[in-house]
Amino acid sequence: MKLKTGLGTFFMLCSMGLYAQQSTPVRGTVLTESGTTLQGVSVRILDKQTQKTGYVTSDSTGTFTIDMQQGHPYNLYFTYVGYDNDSITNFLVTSGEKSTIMMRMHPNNAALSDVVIVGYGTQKKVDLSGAVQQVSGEVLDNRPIANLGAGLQGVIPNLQITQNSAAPGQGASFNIRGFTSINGGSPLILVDGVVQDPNLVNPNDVASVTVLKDAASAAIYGARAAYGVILITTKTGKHNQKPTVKLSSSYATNKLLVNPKYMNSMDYINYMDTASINAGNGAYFSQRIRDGVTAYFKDPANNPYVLYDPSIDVTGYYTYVGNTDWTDALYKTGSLQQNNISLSGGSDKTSYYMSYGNSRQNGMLAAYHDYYQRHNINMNIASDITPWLTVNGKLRYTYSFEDHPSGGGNGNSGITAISGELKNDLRPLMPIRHPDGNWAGQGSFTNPFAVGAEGGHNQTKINDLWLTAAVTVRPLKDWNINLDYTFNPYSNNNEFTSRLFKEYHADGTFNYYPWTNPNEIDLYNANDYYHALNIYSDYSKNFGLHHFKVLVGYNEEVKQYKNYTAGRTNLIDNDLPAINRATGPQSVDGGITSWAVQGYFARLNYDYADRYFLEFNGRYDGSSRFQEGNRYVMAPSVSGAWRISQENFWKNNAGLSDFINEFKIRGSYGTLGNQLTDNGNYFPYVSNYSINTALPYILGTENTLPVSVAPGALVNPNFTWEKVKQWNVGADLDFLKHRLSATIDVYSRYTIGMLTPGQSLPATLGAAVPVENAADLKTKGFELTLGWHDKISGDLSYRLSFNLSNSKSYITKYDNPTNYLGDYYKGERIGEIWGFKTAGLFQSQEQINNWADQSLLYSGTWNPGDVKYMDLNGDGVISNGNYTSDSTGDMRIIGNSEPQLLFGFNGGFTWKNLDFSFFFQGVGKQDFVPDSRFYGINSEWDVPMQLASDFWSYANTNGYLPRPYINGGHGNRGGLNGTLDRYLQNAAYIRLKQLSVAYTLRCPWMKKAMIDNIQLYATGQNILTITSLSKLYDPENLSLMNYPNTKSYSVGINITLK
Amino acid sequence: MKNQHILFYLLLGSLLTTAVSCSKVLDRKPQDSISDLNYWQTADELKLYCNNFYPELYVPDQFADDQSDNCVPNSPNSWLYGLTTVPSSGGGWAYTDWAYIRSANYFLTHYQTATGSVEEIDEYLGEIHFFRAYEYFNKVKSFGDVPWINKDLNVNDSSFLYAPRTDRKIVTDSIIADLKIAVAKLPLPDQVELGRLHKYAAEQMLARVCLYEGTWMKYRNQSGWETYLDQAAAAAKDIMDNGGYSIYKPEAAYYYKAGDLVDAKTNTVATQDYPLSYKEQFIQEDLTKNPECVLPKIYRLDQLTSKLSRSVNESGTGVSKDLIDAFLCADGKPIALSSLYKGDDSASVEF
Repeated sequence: MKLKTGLGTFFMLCSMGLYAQQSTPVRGTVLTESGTTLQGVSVRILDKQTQKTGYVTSDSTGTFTIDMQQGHPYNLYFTYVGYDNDSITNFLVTSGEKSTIMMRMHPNNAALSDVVIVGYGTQKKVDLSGAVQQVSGEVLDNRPIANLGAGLQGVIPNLQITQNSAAPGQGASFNIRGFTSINGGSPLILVDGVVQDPNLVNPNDVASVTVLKDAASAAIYGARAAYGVILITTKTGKHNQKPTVKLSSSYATNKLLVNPKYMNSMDYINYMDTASINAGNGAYFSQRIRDGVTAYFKDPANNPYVLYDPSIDVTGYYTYVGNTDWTDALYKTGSLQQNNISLSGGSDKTSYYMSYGNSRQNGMLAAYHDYYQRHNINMNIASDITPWLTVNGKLRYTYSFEDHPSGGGNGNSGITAISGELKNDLRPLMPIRHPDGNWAGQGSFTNPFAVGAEGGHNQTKINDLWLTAAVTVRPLKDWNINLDYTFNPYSNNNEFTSRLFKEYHADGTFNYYPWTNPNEIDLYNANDYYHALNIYSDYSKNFGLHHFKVLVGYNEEVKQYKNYTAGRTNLIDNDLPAINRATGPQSVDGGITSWAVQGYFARLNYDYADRYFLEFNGRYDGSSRFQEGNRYVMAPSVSGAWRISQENFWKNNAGLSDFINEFKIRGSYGTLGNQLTDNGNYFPYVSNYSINTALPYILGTENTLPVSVAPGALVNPNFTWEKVKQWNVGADLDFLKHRLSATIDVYSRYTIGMLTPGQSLPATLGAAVPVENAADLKTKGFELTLGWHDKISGDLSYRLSFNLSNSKSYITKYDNPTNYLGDYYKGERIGEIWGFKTAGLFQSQEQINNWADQSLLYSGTWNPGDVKYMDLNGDGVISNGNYTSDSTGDMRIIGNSEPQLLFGFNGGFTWKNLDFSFFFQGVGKQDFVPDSRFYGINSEWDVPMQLASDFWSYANTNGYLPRPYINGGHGNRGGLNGTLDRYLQNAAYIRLKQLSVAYTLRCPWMKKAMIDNIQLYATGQNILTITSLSKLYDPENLSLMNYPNTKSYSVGINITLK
Repeated sequence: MKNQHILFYLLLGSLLTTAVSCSKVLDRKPQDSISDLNYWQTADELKLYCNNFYPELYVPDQFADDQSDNCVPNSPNSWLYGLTTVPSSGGGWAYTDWAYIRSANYFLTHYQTATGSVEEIDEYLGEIHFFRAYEYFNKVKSFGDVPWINKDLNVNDSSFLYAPRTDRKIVTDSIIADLKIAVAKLPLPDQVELGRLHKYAAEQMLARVCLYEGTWMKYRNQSGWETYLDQAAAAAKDIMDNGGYSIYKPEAAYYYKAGDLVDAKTNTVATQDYPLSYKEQFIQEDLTKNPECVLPKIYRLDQLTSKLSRSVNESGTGVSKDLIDAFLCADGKPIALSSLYKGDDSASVEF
């Protein structure tokens, strides 16, 4: 409600020229709806003629004064915490008139009017009774993220995102609320209501992401929603909005986040000699190599890095004595470029949104130009044809292309499309190239640089088109009927080549690198089709304070898969890989399968006076994955909420309601069947015969190997659905004029009837015992979100948000009567790490003699520098008992590998045109059992990392790592299936995921170019990590041999045209 | 307004039609795989099923003689040294070791629906009986008494699964019965595809089983052994009389000239190890033309090759001195008598 008393405005037009430079003080008052004055309201003043801005704040009587130029039109913008923003536009003062301004501000119910996307509809946030959380697409803005998943990490509590590999184009996987089932299980992810791969979605097109966490809110999606639902909604245009064009472009550089170094050549040969001598052998390297390495290490300019003397090197190979830093050699700086353009707007009948985006991620491999490129087109047009009929058309198209090194078809090179290029056996002695310019790598030396550069490519193209037509009919007020149909053709083409390359020896001879020999080309083509049909109708009716809303619907989805592969070896031309230019044996294969789901669903919402809420959800869901007669399952759920803050006793208690503005408690329960979408078996009830198209036995005179058929695995006749039951209790609170908000949820999820190998049966069965629904799991957890936002003054506001979540899972039933620890057992907590407590390292033979018997761990001789195990049960022998949970000897649970206490913390402030934001993400507790890279070497072929230098020796009796042996751990890395507490790593971390500064330019001249604003920003990603984990590892990538994670710095520009 | 009503009802109608017409959407069948739902129709399907058993047939490897005094493996042979222990699981008794028996039984309970000529179906029925016998014969050699199972089991067949071991004699008689069916049903060698089982391959197996069992009984003083040995002899006699097999003789003719072996055709010194024909005996690459061979395993370049000749060169096992000493000298006398034998101080002296 604004009231403008400017009586003089009538005379403005004629008098403006004369009095233009006169200024007049104008007094204003700010009131609440009920008429009390408001102190501290910030008023931003814009002189539209000069584009000058200024600020004032209302005083204790709610008044403010502004000096206004006569004849200038002014815009006034009012902001006050807890109230809606409001404005007065084109306010004019003319000479001789006494103007006053009065502004009545509305309480800010933004938090209360927030609408949340739920299954087949929307709900006001305050009406929710299930555990649903939503974030706006703004969390993805201005970030150098390669895919949607990367941008959602840490944003919503208990939405866990795992980046499978940091190689270009590799997607993320999603989990809701922790460990789901021993058979795996992931949430249902829907993009605008259909099952699209979220990694192919342009993050710029995302309007919101909603997570349905509990059984009650997910039940409407039935048998695929047992482990939650993620609803991704794309942007749409708005009615009565001017056409708005947004352009954005950014460039990021990606560098290695963790750079684990191998030992240099000198340290390496010393280490190997020590390890060899420790194992009772002589020095590992000959004096000749030692001399060569030493000379080159000390003076690389004047000494050779390879030796060759035909009388010694009788194999004709070089002897390598170089000093290559392989991590530096194999990785370079990568980049990520993103460009987007969108057009949105709408008339009063029609709204539209169109966008095009592309992103290109250049990988970090130095040897091969690996990259990922994605183009996205998105169109969404809705039109109200008649007052009761709306039609909506959507088109989403994604094209992606990725290019990686192949590493050869048999996997023996150790390099794959998406692996990193580090290898266990990357000896620093090997150069990248021989002095004659040929690739190094011969005999037992593999040169990953050469394999990457020369070994062939692995390229994947994806075309993904989504077409949706939707109709909404409103036959009566508050009655909607929706029908939408989506069609999705999807194709995936892969071209894999192995390329011959030569390994030259010192004597001029060569051989072909064996793992890309013969050269070959393999083509893969998948063409999949998906149809989805949704018909649903909702109707709302109020009877006084009783509000009812009912939804019924039908959903049907079919996906058909068809693929084939064709391959042939012996390319005529190594550099022209084409299947019609190959001459060797050919191979073809293919597959065709499909799945369908069909469900009938209903939801009933009831509330009384916005105070008591009750919701029933149910879905009668059918899946083609089950046998006829066993196909349908009912997923019922119920949830309720009580908005205590709506009670009169609360509202009437000003002290209470002013402090806690909103207080709601919620509870829900539901049961969902799980149709086992993760196991990739579309007909688990059918026993498929196995077909061998090339039986290794020649029959007949045909020039091909015969085909053979063998009966399939046994199928349990009693096999049925896995069931998931979930309780959820939660509360939503707003404090202090809605500035502080809190949401807390506690849940228990029971996974009943997980498929496990059935009971042991005599081997005369002749087949593996089929799985049966025999194991149960319980997961308990919580999540908490706290948010705070406030304005310090009109041009300075800030926000903070923190979320925390945890989950723990226990096996509650498993067929393992002896509680053997090598398998799941009843009472097991998922992720538990069994191991031994240690008491440092032995310092002398005497200590060993007086210590417990450790021979069960290693039957050879124990030496000073070896690990001292603690004899916890005092029997004088270190043992793991019977290796059952009742008899563990000296073994104890020493940690847990499941990440716990996952948190995200983000915030920022806006000061005038400057915006600053940060985002921390981390894990509060996680243990990690390091691999053999951490200790040094596992065999003589391994190369120790620089960080493994601190090992025990007589010269370094305080060494952290045990004495190294060339041929294994000798009991120093655990044994008897246990691990060592001394070397257990704490993988907890806090990481500054994002730090951004953005500046928004609004200049008068831009108006002429129709530019509304220009935003420039700089963002750093993964720029700071605090962890006590060994520096070998990145806490988000715990394997050294994976493609390494990146640290990024980006700059970008966003231009909005109106 | 009228139009709107029409539109509305059209829409409602289409909704209902869609919902009804889609009721069969869940009826999906595996399209790229075969299962009980679509197999056992033709004789050719029986053939493909039988093919799967062929790689089970024994092919010598470089370790075949490790349990004899002919070879010296690089680690002591646990059988020779009496160190073999019975493992707690596996050891020929894992479910995978019973898979072919299950597979054979699966055939016997399912093949009846296949249509085709009696001869065709009989051929594959005979093969299956042969293979079941072959598998069981190996079981008997390893374990003695083993449960005789003649149907494909599922998890609820506890009467079979928990049945005690069947007496060895009953199992052997069942094997012999299977082989007799195979002999009766399998066609003659020239009527089957090259490399496939035929009547005499089955009969040869019958002779072998009977010989093995009869000998086993004889040396354990069990009565009735004569019947088995008689059957063995009869089966072998039938192969010799009617099978058309003969002793292999190299095609080329050779003669000796001044101590050298000379090829009669070319009159040049030959490298053939005539008359022993060792190469043909042990590593002849194509056995299909060898008249001694009852059932050849066929190798073809780029299709299927044997690594045996490479493996025997590798470390792991080697021939014993005992084997070398067993050879006769060029004059036909053993080393103890021949004047050609110069001792074994070095390889060059010895050979």
